[in-house]
Amino acid sequence: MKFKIVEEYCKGCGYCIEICPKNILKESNHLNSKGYMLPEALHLEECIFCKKCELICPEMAITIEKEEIIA
Amino acid sequence: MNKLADSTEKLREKYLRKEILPTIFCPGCGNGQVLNYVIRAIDQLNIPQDNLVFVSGIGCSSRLPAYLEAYGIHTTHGRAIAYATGIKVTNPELTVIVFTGDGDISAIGLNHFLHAVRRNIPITVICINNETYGMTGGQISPTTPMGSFSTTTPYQNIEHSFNLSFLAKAAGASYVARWTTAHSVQAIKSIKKGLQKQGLAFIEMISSCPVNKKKFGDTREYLKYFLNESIRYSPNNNNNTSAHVFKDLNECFTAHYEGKIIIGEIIDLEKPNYHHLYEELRVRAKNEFWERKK
Amino acid sequence: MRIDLSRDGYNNRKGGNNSLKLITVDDILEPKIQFATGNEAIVYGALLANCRFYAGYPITPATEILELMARYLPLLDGGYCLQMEDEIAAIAAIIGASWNNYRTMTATSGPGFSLMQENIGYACMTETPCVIVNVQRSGPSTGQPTKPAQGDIMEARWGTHGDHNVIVLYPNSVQESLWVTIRAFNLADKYRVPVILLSDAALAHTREKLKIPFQNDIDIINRIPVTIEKAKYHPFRTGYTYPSKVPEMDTFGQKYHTYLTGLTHDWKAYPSTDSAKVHEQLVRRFYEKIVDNHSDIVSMELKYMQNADIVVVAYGIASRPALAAVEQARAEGYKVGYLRLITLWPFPHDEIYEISLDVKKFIVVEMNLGQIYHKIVEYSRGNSDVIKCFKIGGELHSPGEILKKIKKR
Repeated sequence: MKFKIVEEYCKGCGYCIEICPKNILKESNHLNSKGYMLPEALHLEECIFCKKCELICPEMAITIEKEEIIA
Repeated sequence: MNKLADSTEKLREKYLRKEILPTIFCPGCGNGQVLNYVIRAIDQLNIPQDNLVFVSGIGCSSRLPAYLEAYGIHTTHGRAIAYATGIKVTNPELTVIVFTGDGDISAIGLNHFLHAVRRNIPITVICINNETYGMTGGQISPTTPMGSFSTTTPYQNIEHSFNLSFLAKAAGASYVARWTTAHSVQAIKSIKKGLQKQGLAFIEMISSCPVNKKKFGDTREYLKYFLNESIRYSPNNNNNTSAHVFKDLNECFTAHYEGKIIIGEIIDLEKPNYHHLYEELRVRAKNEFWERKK
Repeated sequence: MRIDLSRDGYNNRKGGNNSLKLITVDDILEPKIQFATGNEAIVYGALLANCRFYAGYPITPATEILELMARYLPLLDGGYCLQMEDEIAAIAAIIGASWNNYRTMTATSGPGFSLMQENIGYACMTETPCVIVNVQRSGPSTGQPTKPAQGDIMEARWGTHGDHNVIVLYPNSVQESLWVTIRAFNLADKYRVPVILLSDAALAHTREKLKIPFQNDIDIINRIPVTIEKAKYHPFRTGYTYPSKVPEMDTFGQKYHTYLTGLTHDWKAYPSTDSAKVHEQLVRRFYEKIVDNHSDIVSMELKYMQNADIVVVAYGIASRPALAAVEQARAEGYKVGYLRLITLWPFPHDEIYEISLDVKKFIVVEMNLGQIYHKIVEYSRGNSDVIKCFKIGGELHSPGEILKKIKKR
C-alpha cells in the first residue's frame, strides 16, 4: 500500500487523520511551502484500502495505491 | 472495471483545471469535499464532459465551477437557478448542475429555487450549506440556528432557520437528500441518484466553515461533530436500517432533536418534468395551428 | 433561408414532432399586410430574426409581447417561451439560454427594467447577446402604467453599475418596430452585447399598417462561432483569428469548456481581480468594440435640413408630432430641420457637433424632464442654443406646442 499525497495541495485540515478507521495517519513534522502540516502514514500494512481518506480530502490530494499481488 | 477504484490522480487530471490549483478554499472547507464527491459521481455515471454545465451564484460554494474542466457559468447572487432554467430548457441534452450556498439559495435566491422546483426543471441543485455567509465574513443566513452569535447578530440571532430539504420537499421536488460533508459515500450515492432523476434533484450538503464557526475549535472537532450529531431520517415505516423512523417531518422539529443534524433521503419520487410537459404542449399547439388553418 | 445551421439539431431531438408538419415563421405571420400594434410588430420582427427563446413577466404595457410569444414559439421547432416568476428570473433565463446558441429576448416596462439592471451588467461582462425590450411608461415607480413616457433613456444607458457599453434603439412607428427589432438581434450577435429596444405605451398599442417580409428577405448576421482547435482556444482573446475586438462565441455542449464569470477575468476567462491591468484591458475592450464601430451602429433620420438654422431633435413617439410641427413650420417659411435619433446609445456625438456648427438653435422634444437634452448641450459645445420642449404626464406633445417653440424668438 502506498499513501501518496500532493504536498502542494494539502492544507493540513486533518480530516484524513480523523476519518481513518485504522488510525494509520497522523500529523507529520513536515510542512509544505505554504506552511501547512502534512499527514503521514504509519503502519501502512494495516490499511484496509477503504479509501475514506481519498474521499474526505477537500483538495483531492490523496491517492492510495494498492500493490497488486499477481497469483 | 470497478469504477470506484479509479485513482484520484486520474480524476484530477481529467476534471480539474490544474493551472488554478490549489483552490482558494480555507483549510477544512467543505466545498472541496463536495467537489471531490461530484467529480466521482459524474465520472462513475460516465456523463460526457462536453455536456456538463455547472451554474453557480455568488459565495464560496459558487467558486467551484471555475475548478472544473467543463462548461461553467458563475452568475449573480441568488440567480443561478434562473440562469440554469434558461440553459436546461433550451438544451435538454445538457447535464446542468447548480452549485449554490445557503445564503445564495435561501435568502436572495429562494424565489427562483421554489419556482424551479415547481416547474420540475430537470437540473441537480447542490446546496452547500455552512449556515453562514462565508465569503463576506460570517453573517447569519436563513439557515443559521436561532440563538447564534455572528457579526450581524452580536446579541444572538432571533430568527428561526429554514430546513432547506424540508422546504424543497414541501415545494414538490422529485428527489431530496441531505448529508453532511463527512458522509462521503452517501453523498456520492445521492448525487449520482439525483443526476439520474428525470425531475429536479436537490442535494443539501451540510458543510463546514472553520474560519467563521469558531465554536468548533479545530477542523477535526468539526468533522467529529458532523459524524456524531447527525441522525438518519427515514420516511419508511418498515425500514430495517439503523435509521431512526420519524413519525413525520414535524417530529424533526421537536426539542428532543434540537441541535441534531437530520440526514438521509427525504423524498424520492418521479413525475413528468418540464420537458415532457413542454413537448406535449408543442403537439397540442401545432395541432391547433393546423386545425385553424383549414 | 439564411438560418444558422445548428438549428438542424432540433428536428432530431427526442420528443420532437417529426410526425407533424413543420411550421415556419412565414406560415405563422399571415397575412403579410396587417393592421398591427407596435408590440405585435416587435414579436413578428423577433420571430423573423430567429428568436426562439423568450422568458418574460407580465407588465403593462408590454404584456402582449409575452402573450404572443407564448402563442407562437411552441409552434416553431426548438422554440420555448416561459413566464418566469419575476423580471430578474426572466433576464437571467434569457442570458443563460443565449449560450445555447439561441437568439433570446425579454420585454418589460419601467419597474421590471429597473429589476433587470444587475443582470444586464452580467450580460455586458460576459459579452452575451440578448435583446431587452423596455416599453416605457410614465414613472417613477408604479407611475402611470398605461401612459407613454420617455423617462428611461438615461437608465437604458447607465442603469447597470460600472463602466459598460450597451446599444439602445428606439423606433417611431409600427413598421419601423419590426425592422429595428431585427436590427437589434443582429447588433447583439455582431457585437456580443445586450441591446435595449425601447418603445412606449403609445407605440405599443397604436395600430398602423404593417408589411411583413418573408424570412428569405431578412438579413441575419449571426454571432461568430469558435472553430479554432481546443488547445489554442481562449474564451476572451480577440484579434487572433481575424481583426476584431469581439471574441468568437462558444456554445454549451461543445469541447471548448468555456468558463463564464461576472468577476473581472483575463482572456483565459479565469477570475483575475487583483490586476488593474487585466481589468482595464477587459473593460476598455467592452467600450472600444462599440465606440470603434460607431458608424455601423449609429443611425438617425434627417429631414428638411437644407439651410436649416433651427433643428428639432426628437425620438420615438414624440418624433411624430415633432415632424408634423416641422412640416407646418416649413410651410410657413421657417428654416427648420428635423433630426430623429433611432440609435440613442451610442450617442451620435460627432454628428450633433457637425450640425451645431451650422445651426443656431436645437429644440429638444422629449416626454421627460430632459435626458437627451443634456447630450445635445454637451455636444453642441456652445455653438448653438438648446431649447427645452419637455412634456410629462402621459400626453403626447401636440404639433402646436412644438410649433410655438419653433416660432419663439
